[in-house]
Amino acid sequence: MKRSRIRKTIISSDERDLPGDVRAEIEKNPEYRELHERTVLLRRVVALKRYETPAPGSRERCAVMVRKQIEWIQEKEAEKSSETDFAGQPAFTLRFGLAAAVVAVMAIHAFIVGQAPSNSPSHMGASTLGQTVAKDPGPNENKFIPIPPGPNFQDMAPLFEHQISHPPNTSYKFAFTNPPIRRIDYVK
Amino acid sequence: MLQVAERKQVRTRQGRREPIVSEPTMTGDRSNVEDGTPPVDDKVLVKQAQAGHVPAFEELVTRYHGKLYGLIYNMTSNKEDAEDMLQDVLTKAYQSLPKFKGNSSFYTWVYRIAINRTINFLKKRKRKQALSLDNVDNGIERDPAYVELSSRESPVRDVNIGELQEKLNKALQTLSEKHRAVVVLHDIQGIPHNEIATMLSVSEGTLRSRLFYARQHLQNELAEFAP
Repeated sequence: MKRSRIRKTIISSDERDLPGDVRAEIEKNPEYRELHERTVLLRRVVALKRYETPAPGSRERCAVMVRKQIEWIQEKEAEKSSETDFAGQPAFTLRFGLAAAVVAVMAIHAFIVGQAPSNSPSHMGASTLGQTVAKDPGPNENKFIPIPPGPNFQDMAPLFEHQISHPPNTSYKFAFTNPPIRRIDYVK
Repeated sequence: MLQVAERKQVRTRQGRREPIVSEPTMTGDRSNVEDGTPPVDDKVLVKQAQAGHVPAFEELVTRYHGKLYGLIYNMTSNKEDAEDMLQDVLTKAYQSLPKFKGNSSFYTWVYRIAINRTINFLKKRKRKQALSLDNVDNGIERDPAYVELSSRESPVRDVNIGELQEKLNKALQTLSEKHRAVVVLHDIQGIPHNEIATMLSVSEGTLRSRLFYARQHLQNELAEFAP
């Protein structure tokens, strides 16, 4: 048996649970015997601490304090449960009912909005998308946009003549019969 | 007995007022000196306490007060801290009682709570507290070990009990909490290795290793008493 192991066993064991081989070593070897005696003495000295006793009335005082703390805890628990257990109260029912109604209205609204047709791409069919996708204009296109066909101002002039109180050949007629030709600059 | 029981009635967890209930299945280790009835088993008291009978819990408190106080006091070496901590431990035990499944004895379970809470308390209390020691019982003078020590050629003979007590406490406080715990539980309170291993949730090998280190350290600290 190793020396360190014998020493460790002597120090960590009690007198009654010392293994036989270690006990034999203790009897044989004075060094181990001395270590064993020292360990026993130390244990006895330390064990004298059990004579330190609490002041009289400590147990009763402790029991009273513990009971008070338990009663305090019970009161707290009772308060807590009375706070949470108020479902039967009219105010709670009213508040709960209102909240539930609001939630129901919001849910119905969301459902209706969800059912309505949408223009968003996610709701369009493939064919619709194909028709609406514009061709990407080239870099030099759209420099000049022609005036779309519309009513001729000269043809429209007689239509207005009978409504005008001014004598003929006034600036109105001139204006309608000779519309100014203006150059249109398009924004590039 | 009935009158005592009625007088002892307190509020239960459910808020009712109920008296302590004694059942005939009693196998405990403490007899009721007042009325000569055998002690109620811990398991019975625990079940009653779990059902909300505070007096049953109080009986458990009375039963283990001394040992639990000793554990905490020897760990802290401060009697005020020990009293406060013990109240805290017992209140915590009452609160945790519904979680107690009975896999171990109530005694092991409550000891585990006490050890863990005391170690946490000591870790939080970073600076060393001054010693505040209990009185030493006169019985020490009749203890065979003390008698033998006093009659030997050892310093105990010359040192008075107060000085010896202070030196012992100071030496214990030099140990780490986990090493102090094994010395207190085994060498002072005499709890067997296997029970301590269960309480501390460690193997017996670890426990013996801690004992070896702690005793070796104490041998240096108390060399004048155990040369």
